[in-house]
Amino acid sequence: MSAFKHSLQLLRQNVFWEVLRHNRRAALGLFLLLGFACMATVGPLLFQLETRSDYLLRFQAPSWAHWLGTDYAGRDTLAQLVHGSRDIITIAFSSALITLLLALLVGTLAGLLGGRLDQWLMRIIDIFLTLPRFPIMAIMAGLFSIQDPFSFGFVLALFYWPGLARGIRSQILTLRSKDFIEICQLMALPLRHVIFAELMPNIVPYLAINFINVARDAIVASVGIMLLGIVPLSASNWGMMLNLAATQTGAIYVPEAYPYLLAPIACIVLFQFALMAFAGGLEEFFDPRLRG
Amino acid sequence: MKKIQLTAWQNKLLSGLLTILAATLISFVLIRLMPGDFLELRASELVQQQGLPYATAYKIASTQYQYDPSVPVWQQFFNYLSGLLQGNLGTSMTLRIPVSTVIWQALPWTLFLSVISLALSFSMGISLGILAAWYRRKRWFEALVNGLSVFSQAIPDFLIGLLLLVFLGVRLRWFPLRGAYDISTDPGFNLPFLLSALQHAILPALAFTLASVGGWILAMRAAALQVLSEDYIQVARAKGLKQRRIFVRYLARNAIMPPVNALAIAFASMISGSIFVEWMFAYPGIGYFFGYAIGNRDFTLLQGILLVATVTMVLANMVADAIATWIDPRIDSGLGK
Amino acid sequence: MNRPGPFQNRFDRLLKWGLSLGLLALLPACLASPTNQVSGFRCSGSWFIPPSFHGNPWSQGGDGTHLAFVYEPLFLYLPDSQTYLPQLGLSYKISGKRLDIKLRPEARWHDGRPFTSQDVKSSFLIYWLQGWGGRLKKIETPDPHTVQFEWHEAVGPLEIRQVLGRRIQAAAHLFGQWSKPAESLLHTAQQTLGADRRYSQAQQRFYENLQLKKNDLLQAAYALRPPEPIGTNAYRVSKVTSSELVLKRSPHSWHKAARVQEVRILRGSTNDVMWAYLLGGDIDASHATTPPDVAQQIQRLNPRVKLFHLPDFANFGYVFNFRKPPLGDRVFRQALARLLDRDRLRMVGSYYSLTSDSQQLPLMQSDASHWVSPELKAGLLSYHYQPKQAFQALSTAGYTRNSQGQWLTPQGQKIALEIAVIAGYSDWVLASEAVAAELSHMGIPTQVRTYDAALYHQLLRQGQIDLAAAFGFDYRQLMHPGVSLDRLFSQGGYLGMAAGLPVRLTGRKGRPLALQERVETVVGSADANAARAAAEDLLWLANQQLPFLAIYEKRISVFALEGERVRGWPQGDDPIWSLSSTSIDTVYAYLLSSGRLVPSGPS
Repeated sequence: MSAFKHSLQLLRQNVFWEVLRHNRRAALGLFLLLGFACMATVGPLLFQLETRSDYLLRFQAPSWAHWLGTDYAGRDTLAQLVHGSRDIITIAFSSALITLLLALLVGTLAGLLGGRLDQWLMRIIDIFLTLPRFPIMAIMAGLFSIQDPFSFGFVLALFYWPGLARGIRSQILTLRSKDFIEICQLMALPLRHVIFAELMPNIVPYLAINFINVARDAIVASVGIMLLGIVPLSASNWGMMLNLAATQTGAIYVPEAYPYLLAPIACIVLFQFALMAFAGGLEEFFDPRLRG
Repeated sequence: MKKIQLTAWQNKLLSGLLTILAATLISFVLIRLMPGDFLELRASELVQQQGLPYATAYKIASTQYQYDPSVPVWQQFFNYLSGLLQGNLGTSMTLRIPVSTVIWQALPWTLFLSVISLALSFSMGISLGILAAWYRRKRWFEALVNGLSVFSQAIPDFLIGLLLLVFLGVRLRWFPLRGAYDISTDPGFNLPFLLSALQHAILPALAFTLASVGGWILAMRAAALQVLSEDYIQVARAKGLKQRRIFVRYLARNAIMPPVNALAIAFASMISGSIFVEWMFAYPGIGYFFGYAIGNRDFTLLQGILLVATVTMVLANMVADAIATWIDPRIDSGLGK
Repeated sequence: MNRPGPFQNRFDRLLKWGLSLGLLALLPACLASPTNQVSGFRCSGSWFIPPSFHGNPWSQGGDGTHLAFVYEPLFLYLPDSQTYLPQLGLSYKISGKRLDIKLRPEARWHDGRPFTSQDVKSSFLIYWLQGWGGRLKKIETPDPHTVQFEWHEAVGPLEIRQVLGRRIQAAAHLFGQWSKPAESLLHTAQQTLGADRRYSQAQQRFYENLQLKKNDLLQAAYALRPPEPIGTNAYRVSKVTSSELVLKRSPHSWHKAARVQEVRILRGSTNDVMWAYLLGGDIDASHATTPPDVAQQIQRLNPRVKLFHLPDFANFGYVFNFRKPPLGDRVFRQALARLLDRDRLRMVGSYYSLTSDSQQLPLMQSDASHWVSPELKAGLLSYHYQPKQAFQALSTAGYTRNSQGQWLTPQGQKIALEIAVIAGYSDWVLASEAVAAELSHMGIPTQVRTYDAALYHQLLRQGQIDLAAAFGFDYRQLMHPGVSLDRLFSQGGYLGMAAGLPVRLTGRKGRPLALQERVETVVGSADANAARAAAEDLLWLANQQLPFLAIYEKRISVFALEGERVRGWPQGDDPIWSLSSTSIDTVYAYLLSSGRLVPSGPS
């Protein structure tokens, strides 16, 4: 069994590069994602964030000194974008991770153990899915005093896990009826083995793709909540930049301010595109039928 | 046979009711946990203005809002439920009119907006999605569809709404900026009013449409690709069936199922997801009043709106189930010809 | 390989048909765009949308921008010329504890009923139920055109200004049913409580009981639901939707000079919405806080728009919470004041406002000379932008900086601050964001946090903030520093509660001052000299203790579109603009009803 897995892994490594080679979109997505990762980690060291305002430099056009121009208070737009990437990526990543863990726990429990527990868990999931998501989110955002990107990610995750948990459960139910699990059961292998050695590898593709989808949703939702101004204004992140540009500073009405307005939008769109494209590549990688 | 199906539906109905009950309880508690005690606020205003002892001021505030926080939450909840059983949603705490009046006047506008935008985004999304799957070798077309879906999914609906408002409304002056109909028309079944209502709905509907079309494109494209990889398509091709026949009979018919299934849910979530677009366009729907209720901590109104949203969601789930069994191709093919 | 397009033709056709059908459907909608340009006046504002809208101005649902056009007070006070413009009143006379007012005999309500002294009485009885008139003895109506107010003792100018300036909103034929019970309550109250300032226990119990009874009456009055408000001013509400509220000229109004036939209020009271309306030329007047480039853009697109900068009779800044260390330390507050370049902050927040003066007095700068004597002035501290001196003062007081440059309290605790702001007040948010950036840069990490209005007010009252963005003085309507000193120094004051000031503070010449007593003297005393002396004490305290750090004295930018639908806007220096101390809508309403603004007609 383990020999099979090993060879599978090797094969997959090759396949991964192969997929990337012919799926340019996925390659581009990966490249962009790495770029954004650099932006969030190394970028802040390269671009000094000037937080102090200088009104006379308000809404300057892009120039050598300010590659993307300046904001409503005369500060460099590019530096804000670079520093702002960190929060957004943290929010996306943390909410996806928390969602994944919660959903995995509930979904596997329900799917494997079945019976009463399964029924109850599914009922709870149903109730969560029935709650009107956006209004409750608005109430919750006021309820928890969100201070940092991690707790922001946590609040978002509270709304994403039920859907994914349901998905994981049905994946597991399908797998359970497949032969190799039944063989394991016949061989009386421990449950631990069944879960980690047999089931997990098979739902990894599903998890990976959903991880990316949740991250994407979280970005939109967090930008939305920040646009509303419910969470604190940290110095700069894309959602806050948009909030300030679109509703507070009049940037949307002044042509000179378009670089400032469009920069965070462009970044959000690019980041989303990168995630989507990469997810497409992953899908292809896991599903041989899509290849070729 | 029939009897079993009936009990299945009864079962569904029962679990739907239970879900509504639980969801109502959760939102009931959440609402009361919201920070910002309006009674405290009003009472301290009175203390300041009239030099009253706090307790008296609090009592006055409590009568003004017809809300007594000393009643335990569970008892409030049962009072609320017993009101519901008599079809009584309560009276808005700040507006002092029945919550049902507000909802009955606001709901049609939200439904109108939802239907228009859902029809637009769904029809656009599924046609582009299926074409994108069918012509997936055509680079420019794929790029176009992908671009649209990425853009659509990346930007929240109210940001799109804001951009539309500024560029189509303020700059180009093609559409009215706010409201649901022109004040010179009389609401009713007459042409000027209907035209005006349509005209006013375009921008907000467009905002929803552009924000959700990407989702439909992706869902349809994924479903179509799935179908295209199925054996029966290969078999059909091998049999030399006409492309057109394959497209309609095999591809479209099978691939449209998952999106249609999602339609009911999407509709239900629009009922409660429209807060900020409605607020931005001063559109007098459910979302607008939800924003008001949150800002003013109007518990009864808030509760009423959440209840409506929850009930629609549960109903939508049932409708989705019903549709799923109804258009299932296996049943369909049995009935065909 | 390309799949042969089986449906290429059909789909092309479908697409074409679909698109053209869709466009056709949109066409009539586009054609139906508003072309009916009635000779009306348009502005922006807010009101309750149907079905919550109703015509009772006293309760939620009846409130809104339209009230300025529907109702009017007895007199309008013009701070610039310090005069009263007669509206429903013709003349008034103050004699000791009494105020006699002659009313305008030709005034009529919108439904044609004559306006009488009973209407004034019923209005002020409702104000009394709401909490106004603590020292009021009685209101008498000797004849239909005379009304007399009497107090327990002679009252100060603030009380007089309230009677003359409050809107007459309760027509006796609508609200009169509550006048009698209210009046008998007032009567028993005056008998039981009398002129006493301190109540016995029995009196206190009576007083509390009285408030409950007042509240019952008030709730009954609030429950009245006429479909539209009935007022005396030139315009009456004609139609209401969620986006527009239309008022038409009332034929019964005494304002015969009013020539503009219609007033249309478009929904929107936030800056960005008003900018949108202005850019599109949709409204004739607006008062959005506007940065210069947006203002230029508006004037470029609408060359006929005039721009005036008017005082807003309020200043913007931050209230310090004395309960939270190190904000309770005077040295620290003073250092903060010297760390901030207020000029720079003013530009970011509200460009056209006035940077607040270095003495930080809770007064309008134009009003300061009336209240600040040379002796007082000589003793005031000045808070210029002097970061170096501020750092030095902190170090001397035992504050230190750690290796990252962050400031620590003398006890060694790291200092970090949070600024509470109301979400949606964009100039507050922007200025606060700039303040946070400055302070963080100086080694005091600061974060801005926006709250919705309900929560913000609660936190303010409970003193659960570090710094809160707020208006320091807020003269509105009454135009008297008593308002701002009460706000800042009294125990239950709007800012006083947030700051949590001690009951007594050491005043000039080292003697302790009872803050509440000083405030009451400024606000209520009929003796002008006593009031002035008390005001000086408190002004000195405001300067020394710095409970509030003012950044700028707010000015509003009024955009007035001349000649599109209306013409006749006054010059910028016309004293009539100072009516904006009541509200800017009151200025518009006055200009329209007095006939100064006229339809622009065919040009």
